[in-house]
Amino acid sequence: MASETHAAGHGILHHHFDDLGQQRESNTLGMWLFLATELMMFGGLFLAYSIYRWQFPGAFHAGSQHLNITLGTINTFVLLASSFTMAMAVHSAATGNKQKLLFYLILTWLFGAAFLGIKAVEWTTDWKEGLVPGFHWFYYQEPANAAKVPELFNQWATTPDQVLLYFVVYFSMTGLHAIHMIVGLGVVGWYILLAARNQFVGGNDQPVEIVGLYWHLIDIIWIFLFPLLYLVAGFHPGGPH
Amino acid sequence: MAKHATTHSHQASGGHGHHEGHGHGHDAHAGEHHIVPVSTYLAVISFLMVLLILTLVAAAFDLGALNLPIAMVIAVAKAAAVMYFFMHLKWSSKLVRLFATIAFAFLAILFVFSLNDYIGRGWVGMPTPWK
Repeated sequence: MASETHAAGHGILHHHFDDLGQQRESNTLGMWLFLATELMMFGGLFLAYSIYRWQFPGAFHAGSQHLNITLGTINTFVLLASSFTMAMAVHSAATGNKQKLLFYLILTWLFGAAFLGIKAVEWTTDWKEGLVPGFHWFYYQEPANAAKVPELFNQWATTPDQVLLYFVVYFSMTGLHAIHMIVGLGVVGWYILLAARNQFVGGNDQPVEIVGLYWHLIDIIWIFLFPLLYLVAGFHPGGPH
Repeated sequence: MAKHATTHSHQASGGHGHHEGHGHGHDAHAGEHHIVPVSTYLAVISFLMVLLILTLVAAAFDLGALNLPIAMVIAVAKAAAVMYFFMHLKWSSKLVRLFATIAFAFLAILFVFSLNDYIGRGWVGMPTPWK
């Protein structure tokens, strides 16, 4: 199996590598090094989250009540499913099945687009309700919501200013994540075109695997964002929004 | 490939140390191409979906101080499954696994040292300008 791959892939071996095995190993290692720097970048935000939540726990409980847990759950489901279809795309490339590769790449792209679409719906709701710090922040000044301010003090021991801090963290983390999703959609879209032009045949399947690593990391980030941002105050079906 | 076999002979001997017992011989060559069966991916996505439901079930019960640790344990289990199977760490060389581990080791350093200061400074009577 391996020798066939190598024999078929002589044209894809770059001159600075001894063989395809070494090239494959180097590509994987390089991508993991990049992912490590990505983790450092997101890590800074996760640290900011931790410090502020430790300092203002009530603000995070009250702030999370403004999010739509149903949409957040659907998005988690969508992103996990997209990781599966991406893994299947990598498998299809490795087995040289062009039709399945195209099918799973397109499915992955559609799941990614669905995620961003749902996120856009959530952000639009936040904007309308006046929950965007610095740009559209007036939720607690609205007469209808002013009654909730004493409730903030009594139930969560927090203030509107501290809830604003939760939303700064919320938009920073989901925003940086969404930027990565947009980049992922661009690359996967590009790879759909390349796959249609037979770019990943004849043993040149590894680029798909490398993009898969990036896609899975974005999934992992969301796996942590979902409980940390949405489920702070628990999940109560039919409960307060 | 045969003429370059000597290049990776040292990795070949190192790779046998963590044999998974499946008998595929997939770790005989550090950069060798391993094709993961579809059944593995189906099992992993099923596991992830069960954990997603478990996340919601756990959040539906108020367990006080245990809420956050339980949610994080489930999230770590999800992330580990994605990395180990979807990201192929199970079949990767020791060097790739080391790089993946080091990323989290540095995250741990960032968190432990920073939170040590923020949370622990009050314990020893030092001034806390942010309180």
